[in-house]
This record gives sequence, structure tokens and C-alpha cells, in this order.
Amino acid sequence: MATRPHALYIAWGFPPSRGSGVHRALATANGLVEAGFDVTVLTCDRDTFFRFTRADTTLEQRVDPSIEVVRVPFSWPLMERDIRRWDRRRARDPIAWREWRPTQDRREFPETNYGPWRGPLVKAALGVHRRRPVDVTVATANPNVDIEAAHQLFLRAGVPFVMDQRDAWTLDVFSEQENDDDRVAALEAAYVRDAQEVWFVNDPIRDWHAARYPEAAARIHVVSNGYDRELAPPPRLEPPAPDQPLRFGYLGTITPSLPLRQFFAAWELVRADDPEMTAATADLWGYLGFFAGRDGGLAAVIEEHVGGGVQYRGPVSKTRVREVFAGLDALLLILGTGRYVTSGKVFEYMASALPVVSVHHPDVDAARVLTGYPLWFPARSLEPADIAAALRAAAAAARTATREQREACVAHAATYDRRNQLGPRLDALHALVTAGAGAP
Amino acid sequence: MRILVLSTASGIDTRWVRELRDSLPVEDADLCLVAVTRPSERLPVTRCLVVGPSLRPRRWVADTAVEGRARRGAPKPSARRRRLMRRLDRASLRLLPGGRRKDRALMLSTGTVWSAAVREEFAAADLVIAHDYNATWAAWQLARRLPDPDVVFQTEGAVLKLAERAERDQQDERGSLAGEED
Repeated sequence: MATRPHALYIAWGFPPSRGSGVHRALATANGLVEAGFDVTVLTCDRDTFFRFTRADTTLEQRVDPSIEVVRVPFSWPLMERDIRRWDRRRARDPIAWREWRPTQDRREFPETNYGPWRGPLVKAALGVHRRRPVDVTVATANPNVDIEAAHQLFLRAGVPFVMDQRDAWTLDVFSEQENDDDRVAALEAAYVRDAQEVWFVNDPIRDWHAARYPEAAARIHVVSNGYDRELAPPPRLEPPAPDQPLRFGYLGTITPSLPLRQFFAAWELVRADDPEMTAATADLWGYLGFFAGRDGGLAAVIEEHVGGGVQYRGPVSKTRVREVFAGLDALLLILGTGRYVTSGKVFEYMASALPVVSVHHPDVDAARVLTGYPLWFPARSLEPADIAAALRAAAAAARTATREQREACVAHAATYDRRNQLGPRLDALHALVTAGAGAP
Repeated sequence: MRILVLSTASGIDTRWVRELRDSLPVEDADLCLVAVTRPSERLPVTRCLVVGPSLRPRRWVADTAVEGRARRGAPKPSARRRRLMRRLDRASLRLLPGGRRKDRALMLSTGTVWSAAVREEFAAADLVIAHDYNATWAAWQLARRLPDPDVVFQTEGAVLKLAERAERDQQDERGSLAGEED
């Protein structure tokens, strides 16, 4: 039997992380196995996720058993709130320490929090290559230090690599400001120059980078996020029982950038003047903030509006997502502003074939993905009256949409099955290494 | 759950305690507070220890009255002794450079590290919270001397630690269930 080529996959956020990028990482690692590679994953130690970002151990069960996972210890001093782990200097003057520490983080590699991980990660990558030569590396940001390790393996051992940048490093996709750190610009240029392929999650980000690096444009691809077939909600092709009040729902991390106040104002408006909506409910599912600590500000905003049909239901494990979708009749896509922002949840929303109410700026990239989805009801603006109009239209559709319309939703969503996004690129990588074209 | 809170805030009142309780994901925690200065009123906590605005090590720590309970603990030193100590404190503070005289981090640490009452509460706590930046020095010093409770910075640290414990418990539960299935 011919030996399978060996792929090294580098991703800081890998199960049991519950971070937003973990599903792409999991799908990429499993996808590499399906494409014909033996796969080694380099990631950080499990403890990090329990202590800082929260963990979802059910995700570990979805890692292909053939994958070897190599965990590299990671410390996160700026996030460390366990005083027993502090040194004397920090304990005595924590304010001065906090001002000093980011500079230390960025000494070796210009990325606050993750910079000090460069050394151990590069060493581990070289160790994996020494034990069994790596044929290709795929590295997923964030953090960008993942790509640095792949680049070092390329520079020192000639191993071709894919830079799965996902969003952007030199461009802030929310503020649209460029990073003014020269070291960052130089490193990104070197990575793009040397990478076999560069992947981004959507066309606007891809185009921005293709314009910045025209000589690399042909190697820059969109590998969109998508839904995972095994976890996505099965499509709902029938309306709810006529006597049952409509159930709206939001699933996803709840962050301060979401226009929650505008949504709540609109919700109050429609409940006041639309008989269909008087008994309707809006359930919000998800973590409050990106990190393990509950965001008190967000909690306060939500608590102000609980009642009137609105409920905060708390986090939901990815493996329970189907169950939650099954209890909803229409979905709320509430997103922060940014024309480069697609959001991961939009794909699962579409897979459900339920009416989707968009509560975000019309320029957000999710709008491009939803264009053509038959049961999409975008608010024209973030004015409560416009959001209210979209809610009313979605409520009507939840009652009256035909089976054909719902099947057309399923067809539209199929493009964003994650395997359809990743598969062609991973097959191309396999062809590349088996043909020897990627050899040093 | 017993939670010990170290704080250098002044004018602590019932509202302060309520806000602290609201920010913790624990129902009916037994809160013990260690502060530098006397609270402005009787607090809804199980115990309130006040170390006083002094830098003198091994000083007497007041076990003040709390809501629904009179003061307890070791008897107060005599009025004459207290006056003498206050004069000594003022004189010694005058000898220090300006910055040190108002160093509340040092006031809390010198008042807590050798206090039997504070050490007793620390050792018995399930979680210790250094509530503000000035409280971390005392918390760190106590943590070096007493091995048991988790010691965290601010309520965010407490929330994080409690979430971590819950997730680990859940994982252990899943592990043992999987074991049963085997």
C-alpha cells in the first residue's frame, strides 16, 4: 500500500476550544484525512481552553481518530487572573506590569498574547518534521503565529505551506483600519510571497489582499466558512402549527458590537401593533462575550429587555444546536458592522431553511451570502422601524412559506456545506504533493 | 460556598456588596470581607475584618459588626493602648516618603499577612478574590503562605474560575458516564 503524504496542520484553536474558529479547524484537519493525508495537528494545551476561553469537550469526539494531536504548552499572562501564578513584580504593581507586558509579548513576534509562543511552536513543528517528514503544512490564523511556524518550516526545511488567513492581519475587518506596525506588514508580505496558497473567508477580504499583492493574486483563494453537515440543523419544510405562537431565535456569541438595543426597540414596536407578534418569543442563545468571563455590560443590556417575549437562554453546545433550531420558526441574524464581516452562523441559519431576519448594516458581507436565499428578510437600516418591518415580513413568511420555497432555501445553502468549500482546495493540495510539485 | 474578598476601597456600603454579589454566578455565597477602612454601615456579609490605615505589621484587626450580628472575635485592646498605637502609627507614617504613606496595597498586606483572623478565613475559603489592583499584593502574600483556596483577581477572575470548575466537573461526569457505558 502506498504511503499517504503527511500534512501538518497548525491551529491554536482546536478542540476542546469552543472559539468561533474551531469548527473550521476541525473540518480542515478531518478534511485533510479525507483528502488522503496522514495528519498531525499542532495546537495548544487543553488546559488553556478550560482556563481562559471555555471548552467544549464534545468537539474532541469529532476529531478523526487517525489524527495525531501534538499539544504545545501555552501561557497567557495578560489573561491570567489566578494570583497564585503571578510573579512578585506583578502582584506588587499590577498596573505597571500590565503596561509593560504587551511589549514583552511582541518582542519575538509582533502579536500581543501569542508572540512568546513562536519559539515553542516552531520547535515543535521542526520536531514533527524530524520524526516524519512533512509534505505540506496548512496553518490557520488567528493567531498569526500559527502561520509563522509554517513559514519557518518552509524556510528551514522547504516544506510548502498554505496560509489560511481567514480574515486579515494587516486589515481590521471591523474598523477597516490598516495595522501600522511595519513588522506585521513585512511578515505578511513574506508569508504571501512564499505560500503555496493563501485562503480567506470571503470575496471582499480576498479582493483587498489580491489588490495589495497583485503578483500573488492567482494563489489567493476564498475558502468560505460553512455549515458542518453532521451538526447543521435539518431543514424545516413545514410551517408551525397555526395555533402556536411564533418562536424567533438568535444563536451565536453575543458581543458588544451587536445592535441589540436597536433590535429590542424594534421588537417592542412589533409586539405593540402586530397581533401575530403579541405572543411571539425571541430566544437569545450563546455566550456573552468572547472569553470565559461573563460580560457584565452585555448582561445588563439583555436583562433590561428580558420579558416581553425576550429570553436569554445561555450558551448552547454545538452538538445541541440541532435541538435548538428544531424549536424555532424564524431566525434573527444580528451582526456587528463591517463590510468584511460574514459571520459563521449565517451558514447554519441557511441550512435550516427557516426565514432569516437580518439585523445588521446592509453592507455586511453576510448580505452577499444571503442574496438569493428565498426566505431572507433584511432590515433596510438599523432604524427600529426598518427592523420591525423585516420582523413582520419574516413572521408572515414563517406562516405562509411553501414547501417549494423552503426547498429552494436548502438548495441555496448547499454551496456553503463546509466540505464543498474546503474539499476542492484540499484535493488540489493532495494532487500537488503526490505529483511532487510541492517538493523542496 | 465561602468567598473571601480583599479590598482596599474606602466607604464600602451595602450597595457595593450587592453589586459584588450580583456579579458572581453563585447563589447565597457566604461572603467575608477584609477591608482597609471601616465600612460606612453594617454590611450584608458573614464577617467583616478591618485592618486599618496603618503600615504597622502584626497589628490588631477589627472584627466589625455586620448586618444581623454584633462584632465578635478577640476583645478590643484597651482605649489607652489603642490611643498609643494610633500615635505610633501617625508618627511612623510621617517618617515615610509621601507615596508610601498612602500605599493602600501595603496597608492591606501588613494588616492581613500576620492576622490570625484573616488567615483563618483565607484557609477556610473556597475562593479568594482580590477585588482591586491594590489588593493583589496582600492576596499574593497570603497565597504564598497558605496552600488551599484558589486566589483570583477581580470578580471576572472569580467568574472564570467558577466556570472552569464547572466545565471540569462536567467533563469528569461525562468521563464517568462513558466509563459506566463501557
